[in-house]
Amino acid sequence: VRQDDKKQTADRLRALVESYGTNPERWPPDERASAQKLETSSSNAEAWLTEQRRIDALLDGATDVVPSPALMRRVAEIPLRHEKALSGWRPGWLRNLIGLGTAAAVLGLVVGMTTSEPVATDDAVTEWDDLSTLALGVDGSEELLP
Amino acid sequence: VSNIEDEIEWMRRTANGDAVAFRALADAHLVKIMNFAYRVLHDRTEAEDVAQETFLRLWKDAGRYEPKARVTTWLHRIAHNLCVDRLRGRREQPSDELDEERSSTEPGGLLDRKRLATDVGKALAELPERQRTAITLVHYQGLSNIEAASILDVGVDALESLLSRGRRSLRDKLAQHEPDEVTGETGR
Repeated sequence: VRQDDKKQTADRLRALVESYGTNPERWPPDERASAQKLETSSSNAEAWLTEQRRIDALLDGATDVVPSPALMRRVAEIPLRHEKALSGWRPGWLRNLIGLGTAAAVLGLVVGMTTSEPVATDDAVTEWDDLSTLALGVDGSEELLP
Repeated sequence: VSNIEDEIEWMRRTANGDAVAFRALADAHLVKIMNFAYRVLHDRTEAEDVAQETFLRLWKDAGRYEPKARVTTWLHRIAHNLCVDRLRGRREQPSDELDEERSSTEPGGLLDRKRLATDVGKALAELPERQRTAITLVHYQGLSNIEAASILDVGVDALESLLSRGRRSLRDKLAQHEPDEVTGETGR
């Protein structure tokens, strides 16, 4: 039995109606057509469908509120009163790239600070002089005599 | 603003500081967001504050919007987070407005449509926040099950559980209303 077929049992129709109400427009689109067919062919569904229609009607009894003119004015004035924190449209991939670049830069900075060569010391100068002597046969540490 | 592509363009322009595009989005969504916040908070003043803050976030953070979700879903998610923050802050200070309405509502009697609306609003306000938000998103705001579930950060199964439990509670809370008091219309 396919999963789609299993879902469209009478139990599933009842679960749909008890969750989303009796208006098929509120049902999940992928189940709507088959559930509607089942609804029209279910002979024993009338009792609980009637109850759910009543709940829908009660919910529809609530009235909408209208934003006050003061709120509409305050919202319309938002661009005049507030600076934008972010400038420009950045698609998701660009934001990810920028984030990756920033992370790499920070990582590079941290690595650079913790592993860079120490500042030259007297020992380092001595080591350089020894290498010069070996390579050039010249002792660079001694001043040339006139 | 007529379709998803138009809305994405308005969002792009808003992110670039275009006040005209921002106002077009506000025109298209302010009433919906105001009603969503009102149904979740059951307090007009707080709902207006949330609506204003939602559009301030839109203006400041439009560049963060990901076009994989509809603009309305993105705005509802912002508004929902703001509502939840307010409800958390409210726990120690119950709303005076709710108490006042509760004490002025008498059971039984002939109830006109205005009374029905008041009672439905009160019954909704008495539901646990997540059941109330689920019903509001699906029944009043017209969001799909996937959109509503994503705003609530739950799966579709959990959303359906919230919806069915909420509807059962509403049925019980509003049992005093006779069937002929309510209209037979189910669509909005």
